[in-house]
Amino acid sequence: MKRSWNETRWIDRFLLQKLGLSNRNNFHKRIQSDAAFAQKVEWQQKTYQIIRISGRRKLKKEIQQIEAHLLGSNGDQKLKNQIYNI
Amino acid sequence: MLGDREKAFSNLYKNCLPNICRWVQRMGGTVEDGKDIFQDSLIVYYEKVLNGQLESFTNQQAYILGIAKKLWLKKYHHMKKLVELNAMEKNISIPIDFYAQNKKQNRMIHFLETAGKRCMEILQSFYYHQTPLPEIAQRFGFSNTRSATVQKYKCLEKIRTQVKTKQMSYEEIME
Repeated sequence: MKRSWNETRWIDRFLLQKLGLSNRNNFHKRIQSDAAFAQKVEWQQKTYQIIRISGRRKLKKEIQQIEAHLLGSNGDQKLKNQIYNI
Repeated sequence: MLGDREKAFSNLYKNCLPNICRWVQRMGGTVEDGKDIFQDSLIVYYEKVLNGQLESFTNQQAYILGIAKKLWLKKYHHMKKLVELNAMEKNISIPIDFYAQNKKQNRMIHFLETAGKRCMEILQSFYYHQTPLPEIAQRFGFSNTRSATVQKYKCLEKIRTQVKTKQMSYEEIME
């Protein structure tokens, strides 16, 4: 189990460009010689994309709540005038 | 901005939203369109701040209006000839995957946000919001930073496996 998350950490450091040159070279060698490892790298990259997209969606909801507060009935009258009286 | 997101976003609403709504209306959009494009602009701006992609001399209002224009063009390619961009605006990059979600990804995200809620929250805190690990440890109730680090990698493994399994099963369904 420990080896497994150590490997995940290694992939993480590679994808976030935190590996030194010699470590990076070892990483490339491993990708070329180990197909299962190469696949893990690919899936981890996809996982980051999913995390990013999901993070954006949540942030959008957070922003919408701020907007609802600012433009709601008890919101910022000056801002509401500026927006709705264009 | 990173310390108190709510306050920072509220200030940006007051300083930038009227301008953006005016511009969107000039382009034939509605106030609702303006609000929607502004929400997305704030997300792009937030990511740029986190990733250190902003020049320190950047005029915040002008920059966010520039992001809004770029996003508008990404949504409505046909308006390219109507939108004039200055040199600064031309240089603003928008993440390639910003409007690129597909059905499979949507289902996957919905599944992960339900089945792997806590792990997704930990991973989003670290990778998306770039929250420092000591703060993650405190927020999620880990005894120390080391435990938070280990848990972060375990979560990454778990979600990676789920992404792989789910995506493969979606592909089978689609075939």
